Amino acid sequence: MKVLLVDDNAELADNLAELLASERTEVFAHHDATAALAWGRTHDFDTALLDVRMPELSGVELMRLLRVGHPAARFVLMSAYTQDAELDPTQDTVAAVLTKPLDLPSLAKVLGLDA
Amino acid sequence: MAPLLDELFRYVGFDEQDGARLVAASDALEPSFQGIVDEFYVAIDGNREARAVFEDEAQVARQKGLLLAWLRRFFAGPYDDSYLEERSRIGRAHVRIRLPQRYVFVSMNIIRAGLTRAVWALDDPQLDKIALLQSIQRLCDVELAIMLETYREDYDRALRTAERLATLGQFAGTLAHEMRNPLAVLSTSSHLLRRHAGDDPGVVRHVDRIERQVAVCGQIVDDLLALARDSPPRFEPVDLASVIEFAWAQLTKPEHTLDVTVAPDAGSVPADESQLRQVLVNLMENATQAMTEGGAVEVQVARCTLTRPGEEVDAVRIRIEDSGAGFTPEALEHLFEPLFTTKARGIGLGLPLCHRIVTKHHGRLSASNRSPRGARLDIVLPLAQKGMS
Ligand code: HEM
Repeated sequence: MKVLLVDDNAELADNLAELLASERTEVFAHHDATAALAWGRTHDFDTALLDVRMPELSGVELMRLLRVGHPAARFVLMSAYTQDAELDPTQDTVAAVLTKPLDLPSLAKVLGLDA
Repeated sequence: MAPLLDELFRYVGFDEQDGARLVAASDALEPSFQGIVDEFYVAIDGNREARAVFEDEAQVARQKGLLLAWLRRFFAGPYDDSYLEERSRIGRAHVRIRLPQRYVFVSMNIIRAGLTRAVWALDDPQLDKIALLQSIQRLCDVELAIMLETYREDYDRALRTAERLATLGQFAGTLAHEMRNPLAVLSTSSHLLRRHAGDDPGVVRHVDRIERQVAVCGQIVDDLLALARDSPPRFEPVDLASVIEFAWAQLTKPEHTLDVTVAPDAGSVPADESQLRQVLVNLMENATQAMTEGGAVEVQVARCTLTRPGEEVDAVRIRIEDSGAGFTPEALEHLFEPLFTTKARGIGLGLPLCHRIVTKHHGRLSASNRSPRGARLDIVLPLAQKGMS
């Protein structure tokens, strides 16, 4: 499984990448949304884990742009802001919105990994 | 003399001669006081909204006594700082019971009319009735001005409290959110550290510690967010016995017991369950902390009526009592103002938030002392909420 992970907090992105990576899971971590968008034009992924609040492009905007080229991908959003947890998942067909600090078992579950 | 009183006297034109005239007429007018008090209450009784200001007959009786004493003091003097001090309490008492300000103008006119009639009826050819009536009118003006002044002070304080709470709430919210990103890094890093540490007991012990403390920080952040969230209550029927038990279970209280009585007709009330639980946790925690030696927190739930200007509604009262030291008079006055705290620990947000939550439920939160000792907190919640049958 290929996971695209984007968070402007580079240390968190790298930590999550390291935690999630395994024999079955390949993680591509990016620290800025535009770089991630460019990467997405030429690469495939099954799941994207995106921070909501980022400069330049928000996680929600990034998701809408990425979805065009990847209609089958699953999108999971994460945010430090609880009010973001109320983003309407049906409207944007988000698999889940997770609140930071992340609860790792539930993250693994949402991503379909066994922790 | 206090600047306020000095200014009022000069503005109204009330001087020593006026004072002397009132004192001189005191004995002659005394027999008419009771009649004036009675007229005052006939007028209140005839007005449904004014009548609803009073909780019960006992309060009416007490108020009649207070008004008679007020009239006596009106003619007794001295008109000095002690007079101002006594009269200042009236405005505050009226704010406390939410008396609409306009009522005092109308009721003061009843008093003016009663006193005018009483003066005309005096049989004393030596008396300059016009001058006496003028002195009476002047002091009535001073009385009204003091009432309005203290009314405004208390009203301003309530407003400041709300503003301060809103600002603090915003600040707490921002702070909490900003803490979440670093906490996310800390918790993921400690996870990775544990992975890399293998089973070196020295490292594992410290990783455990870091994770525990990160969890504590997470809890603080959640609490701050609960404070910051100022969401309107979502009403649903709440079973009071179970929410009380649930809130109690959230507390750490080594030496304390809970003693709950719920009247059969007061088992449930429309409320926002999580907000009500927050209030209960706060109040029961205060109760346990007040009893340092341990003891029973007593909670009684019963039906009552809630009196608001213009109406009386059926309600449920949750009374929480402890046998600790109770409140000082100063604490009682400021209890619901943010950042006022009597505890060594705590930032003084608990009670103001409880107050805000109960107010948003259109209810009332009040504090008093028990005799011989202990604190009593009453949460009164109406049994009917708009949009809920
Ligand atoms: C000129 C008009 C009024 C005067 C001079 C007056 C005087 C007073 C005084 C002396 C107190 C006691 C304050 C203290 O705690 O020391 C008081 C409290 C109170 N007043 Fe008035 N009042 C007036 C108008 C009204 C009206 C129009 C109402 C109701 C419709 C009202 C209802 C009350 C109530 C319920 C209390 C609280 C009593 C308690 O604490 O149980 N008052 N007032």
